[in-house]
Amino acid sequence: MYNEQLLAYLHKAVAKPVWPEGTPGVFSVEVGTKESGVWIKLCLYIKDNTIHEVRYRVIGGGYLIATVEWANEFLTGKSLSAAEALNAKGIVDALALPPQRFYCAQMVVDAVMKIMRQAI
Amino acid sequence: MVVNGFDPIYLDYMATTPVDESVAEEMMRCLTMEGNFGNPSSATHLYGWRAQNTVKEARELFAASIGATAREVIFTSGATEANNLAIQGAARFYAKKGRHLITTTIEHKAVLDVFHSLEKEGFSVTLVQPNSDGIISADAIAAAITPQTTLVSTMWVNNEIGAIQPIADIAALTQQRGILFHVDAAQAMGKVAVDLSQLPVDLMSFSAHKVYGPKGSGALFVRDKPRARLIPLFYGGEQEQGLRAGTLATHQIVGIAAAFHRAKLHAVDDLNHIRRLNAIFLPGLLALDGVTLNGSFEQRVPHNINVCFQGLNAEALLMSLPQIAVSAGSACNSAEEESSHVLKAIGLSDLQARASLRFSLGRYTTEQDIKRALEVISLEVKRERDLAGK
Repeated sequence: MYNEQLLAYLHKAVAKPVWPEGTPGVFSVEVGTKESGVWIKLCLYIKDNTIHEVRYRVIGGGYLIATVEWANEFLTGKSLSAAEALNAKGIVDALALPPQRFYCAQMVVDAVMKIMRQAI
Repeated sequence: MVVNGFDPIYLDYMATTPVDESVAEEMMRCLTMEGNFGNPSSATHLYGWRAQNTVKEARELFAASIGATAREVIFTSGATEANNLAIQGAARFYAKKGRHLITTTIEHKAVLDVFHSLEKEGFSVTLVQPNSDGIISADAIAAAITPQTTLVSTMWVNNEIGAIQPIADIAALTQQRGILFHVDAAQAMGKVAVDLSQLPVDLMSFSAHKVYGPKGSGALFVRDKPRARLIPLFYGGEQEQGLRAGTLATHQIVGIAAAFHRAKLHAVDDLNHIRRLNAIFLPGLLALDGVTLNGSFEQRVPHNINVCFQGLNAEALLMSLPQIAVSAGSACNSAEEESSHVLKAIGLSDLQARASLRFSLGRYTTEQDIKRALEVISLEVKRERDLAGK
C-alpha cells in the first residue's frame, strides 16, 4: 500500500522540456546511470541567488519520480541558502519513504548539492 | 464498484480469482446450524453421516473433473501444502532408493523452497533450465536424470509467463525410466485440459482459488495404480488415508469440488472468452512504444500476458495506475526488491525484469475493461517515457 502523499507527487510529475546546454543561469547535473535504471538529470534555473525553476528527467521507480517532484516543489522559489536546508532525512520524513527507498532521497540531495557547488 | 475514487479493473486472475457465486452458496450450506456443519469423522450421529456423505460426493465430483478416482484424491489446505506433501513425502519415502531430485528454475516458490529444504537434509537437487520461451523440454529433464534420481517435479502452467510445459512428454519419459513424476498444476485447471486417466503422472497438486473456488483449499492427486507412496507431513488422525491428518473442512472440500466441476463444464466458453479478450489486449499493448512479450507467443495460456515496458520501471507504472490491478515482474516486499527468477531464467536482464508486468485475464474480465486498461496504460507509458527523456 503506497501512501497518498507519495502518490500525489508521483501523479504531479510532468516532463517539461529541459533547457538547451549553455542556457544562461541554468545549472545541470546527472546522478546515477541510465544503464542501471536509476538516473536523474536535474536542471535548476538560478538568478539573483534564487531558484526560479526546476526541470528534470528521471528513470526509476515511482518512489524516485515522486521524490524528484517533491524536491521540485521544495526548491522552486527558494534562495540558495534556504535550499541548502534540503537533506535526505527531511525528504524521507516528508514522503514516509521506506528504508529500502532512502537512496531516492540521497540521490536528489546529491544532485542538488552538486549544483549548489557549481552555482555558488 | 468505485474504490478510493477509482473504478478498478481486475487483471490479476493468476494471483487469485473471486469465488463463483454458486460455489459460495454450496459452501455456505456446510457452515451453519441449519446447514451441513457436522464433522465428517463423527460416525455416531446423523450430522456426521450427512457431512461424510457430502465429502464423499464432493470427492467423487472432484475426481471426475480431473480424470481420477476418488481414492486418488487427498484434500489439503492449498497447492502449497499439496506440493510439500508430494515432494517431501515422496523424497523421504524413496530415500533408500536414491537421493537425487530434479526440478526446474522456473517453479513457484512453493516448490523451489521445498527442494531447498530437502537439500539441507542431504538430498541433491538438479535445477533444469528452460529455453528462452520458458519451456522445459523432456530432453533437458532426461539429461539431468542419474541412477539415483527418484523424483522429477515440474509445473504445468507457469504462473508468471503462462508457459505450458510438455507434461505428456515428460510423463512418458519418467514412466519409462521408473521415476516418480510430480506436477504442480495450481495454474492448470480451467486453462488446459486436465485428464489424469490419460496422463502417466504420479502426483499432481491443485489449488481452488485459481479456478473461482475458495482460498485455503487444494488437493493432491496420488496415483493408485501403481501407487505413489508418501510419508505424511504431520500426524494426528487417519483422515485422507493417513496422509493428511486433521478434521476435514467440508465447506472447503465442497468448494474445490464445485469450482473444478464448473471449470470443466465451462472450459470451452471460458477459453473462447479469454482468447477473444487476449486478441484485443495483447496487440494493443505490443503497439505501444518499446513493449515486448515475455515468453512464448504460442505455447502459453491466453489468460497470461507478461510484457516488458523496455526502459521503464514496472513499479512506477503500478503506482501510477492504481485503477488497474496487476502483478509486477519482480517480487517486491517491504524488505527487498528482487527481480523475478522466472524472467531472469528466460534470459531477461535485471532491468528488463524490473520493467515487466503480468496481466492476467479471467471469466469476469470484459471487453470494456480491456479497452479502458489500454487507454490508461498508453497515456501513462507516454508520460513516463517523456519523464525519462525517451
